[in-house]
Amino acid sequence: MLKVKNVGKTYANDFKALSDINLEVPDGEFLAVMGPSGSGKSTLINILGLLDNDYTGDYFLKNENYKNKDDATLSGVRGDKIGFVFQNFKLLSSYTVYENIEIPLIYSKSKTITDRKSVIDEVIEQVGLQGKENNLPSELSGGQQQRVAIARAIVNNPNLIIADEPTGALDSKTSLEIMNIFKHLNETFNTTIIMVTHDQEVADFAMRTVHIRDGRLYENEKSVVSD
Amino acid sequence: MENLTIALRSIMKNKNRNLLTMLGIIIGIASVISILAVGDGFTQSITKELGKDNASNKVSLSYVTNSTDLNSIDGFTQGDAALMSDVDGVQSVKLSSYDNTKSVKLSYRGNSSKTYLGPIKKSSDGPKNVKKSILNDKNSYDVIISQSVKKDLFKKSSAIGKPIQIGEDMFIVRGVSDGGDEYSANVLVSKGTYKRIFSANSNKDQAKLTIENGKNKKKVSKAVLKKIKANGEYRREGKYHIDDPTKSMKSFQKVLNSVTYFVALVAGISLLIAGIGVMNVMYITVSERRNEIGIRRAFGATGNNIRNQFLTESIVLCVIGGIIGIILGYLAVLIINAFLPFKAVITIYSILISLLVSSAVGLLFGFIPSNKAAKSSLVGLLKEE
Ligand SMILES: Nc1ncnc2c1ncn2[C@@H]1O[C@H](COP(=O)(O)OP(=O)(O)OP(=O)(O)O)[C@@H](O)[C@H]1O
Ligand SMILES: [Mg+2]
Repeated sequence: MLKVKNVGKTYANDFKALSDINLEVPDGEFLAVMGPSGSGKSTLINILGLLDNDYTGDYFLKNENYKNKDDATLSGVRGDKIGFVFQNFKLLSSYTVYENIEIPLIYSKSKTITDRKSVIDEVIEQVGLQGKENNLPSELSGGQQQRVAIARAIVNNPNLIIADEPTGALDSKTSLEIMNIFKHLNETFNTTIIMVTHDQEVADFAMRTVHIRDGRLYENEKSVVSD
Repeated sequence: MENLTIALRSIMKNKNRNLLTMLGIIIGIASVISILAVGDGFTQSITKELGKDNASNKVSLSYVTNSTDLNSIDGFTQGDAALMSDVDGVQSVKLSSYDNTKSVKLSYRGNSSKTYLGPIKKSSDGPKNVKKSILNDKNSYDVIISQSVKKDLFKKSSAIGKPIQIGEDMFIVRGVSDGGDEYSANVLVSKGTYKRIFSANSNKDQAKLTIENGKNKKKVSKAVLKKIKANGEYRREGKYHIDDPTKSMKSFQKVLNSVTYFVALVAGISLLIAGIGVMNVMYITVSERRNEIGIRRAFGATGNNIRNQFLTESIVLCVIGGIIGIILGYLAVLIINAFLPFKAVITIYSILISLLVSSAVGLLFGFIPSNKAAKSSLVGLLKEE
C-alpha cells in the first residue's frame, strides 16, 4: 500500500505545482493519472516514485514514512522496490540492451554476479526481445526500446512500476503491445502500476483513473476535460 | 571492485574522449619524467665528480701566494711536509701542485713565446699522427705544441722535427695540435718528462693529508693548519687554508638547487596543464552525462555511487595515462641521452612522484565535477536530454 497525505509541491520560482494531494494506492492496483498538460502529473508521479524528495506532506510505503529519509535509503528503495518507465525510454545509448537492463542489478544489494545473467535472460524473454541482447538502443524500434526500458524496470522484481507517459512516443498499435505487457505484469506478478497518460485508450487498461487539474487531484472524475 | 568494473566499462564506452584525456596526461607525465631525468642526471654527474675528492679520511691544505710572479717559488716545502706529518693523527702527507701547468719561455732562432706547459693526460690528447711512444717515454725530449705557439715561433714554416728551447733544455717538436688558448697548456710533454724536468721545481701549493683511522678529521686538520701557519717556511709570502670539499660542494649545490627548482617549475607547469585538461574533460563528461547519472540514480545508485564512479574513472584514466607517460618518458630519455654530455637518469622517486601526482590530479579534478553531479537534483537530471 502506497499512501500520500497532504502533499504539496512548490517549485523554486514559487510556482505551486501541487496542493493538498491525498492518494491511496493498494498493492496490485493499476492506476492511471490523467490531466491537461502542465497540470502537475509528472510532478506528482516523481514524488510517488521517490525521485523528488522536496515536497511537503507525508509519504507512506507499507506504513513506513519516507519523508525526510536519507539519500542511501531512498536510492535503496528506488533500486529494489520501484521500477521506472519514461516517455522517451531513457536508455544509455552506448550500452547494449543487455547492459541497459543490467543497471539496476549493479546497485542492488540482493543480487550476486552469478545469477545476473539468468535474471536478465528471463526479463528479456518476458518482453519478447530474445536475440537483441547485444544490440544498441539505436538499432531498435521505439516499441522495442520501450520494451528494453520495461525489462530494465522489472529486472529487480519491483512492487511498484512508475510510468510517465510510457506510450507517449509510440504509435497506437505499439502502444497497445506495451500496455499488454503492463497488464500482464500487473496480473501475473501483482505489481502495482502508476501510469501517467493522455490517451484514454491507454488509460482504459488501468483499474482506476485519477485526474489532476491545476495541481489538485480529483478521484473518479468522469467529466471529460479536453486535454 | 564493482566500482572499478563500472568505471572501466564506462571508460571503454567513451573511448575517443578518454583517449584524448589520456593524451594530455601522457604528454604531461612524459615531459615531467624526462625533465626530471635530465635534472637528476645533471645533479648526479656533478655530485659524482665532486665526490671523487671527498674521500673520508683525506684532507687537503692549500697555499695561496701573495706574489704576483708566476714563477715565484713559494709553497709547501719538504720541511713543511715533515712538520705536518708530525702532528698527531696524520698518517701521511703528499705535496702536489694545484694546477698541472707551468709557465715557460720557448724560443726558436730568436723567436720566443711565453706560455704554459703541461703533461699529456691521455693518449687522446694532441694530434693523431704522433707516435704513442712519445707520449709514454719519460726520458724523451719530445713536445707537442699548439697551433698558436707554432705561429709565434715558426710563422708559416713547418715545425715538425725542429728543435726548440724550453727553459734550459732543448726539445724536438713532434706534433702540432689544434687551437690552444692563453690559459691552458699550449705545450705538452710526456707525463714522465714533465715530472722529471718541470714538476721538480714547480711550487707545491697543495698538501694532501691522510688522516689515521679513528681520528677526528676536523680536529687533526685544524691542528695541522695551526702548526703550518706558525712554522711554514713561506708563511710570510702567502696564506694557508684547509680546502673544504663541502664548500665547493655547497656552492655547487646552490647552482644545482636552482636547476632543480627550475626543473620542478617546468614539471609543475606541465602537470598543471595536464590536470586542467583532466578537469576540463571531467566537467564536459559530467555535463554530457547528466542524463546517464539521472538514469543510474533512478535505478538505485546513491549520490556516493555516482561520485565514486566518476572519481574512479578519472583516477583510472590518470593512472593509465601516467603509466603510459612514464614509458614514453623513458623512451624520450633514451633518445635524449644520445645527445647529452651526461646521462639523464630516471629515478624511482621521479616515477613515484609522477604516479602520485597524476592520481592526485585525477582525484582532485575528478572530485569537483563528480561531487557536483552527485548533488544535482534527480528530477532535474532526468529532465535533461
Ligand atoms: N523545475 C520547475 N521549476 C518551475 N516550475 C516547474 C518546474 N517543473 C515543472 N514546473 C511547472 O509545474 C507545472 C507542472 O509541471 P508537470 O511537469 O508536473 O506537468 P505535467 O502535468 O507532467 O505536464 P505534461 O503533460 O506536459 O508532461 C507546470 O506548470 C510547469 O511549468
Ligand atoms: Mg509530464
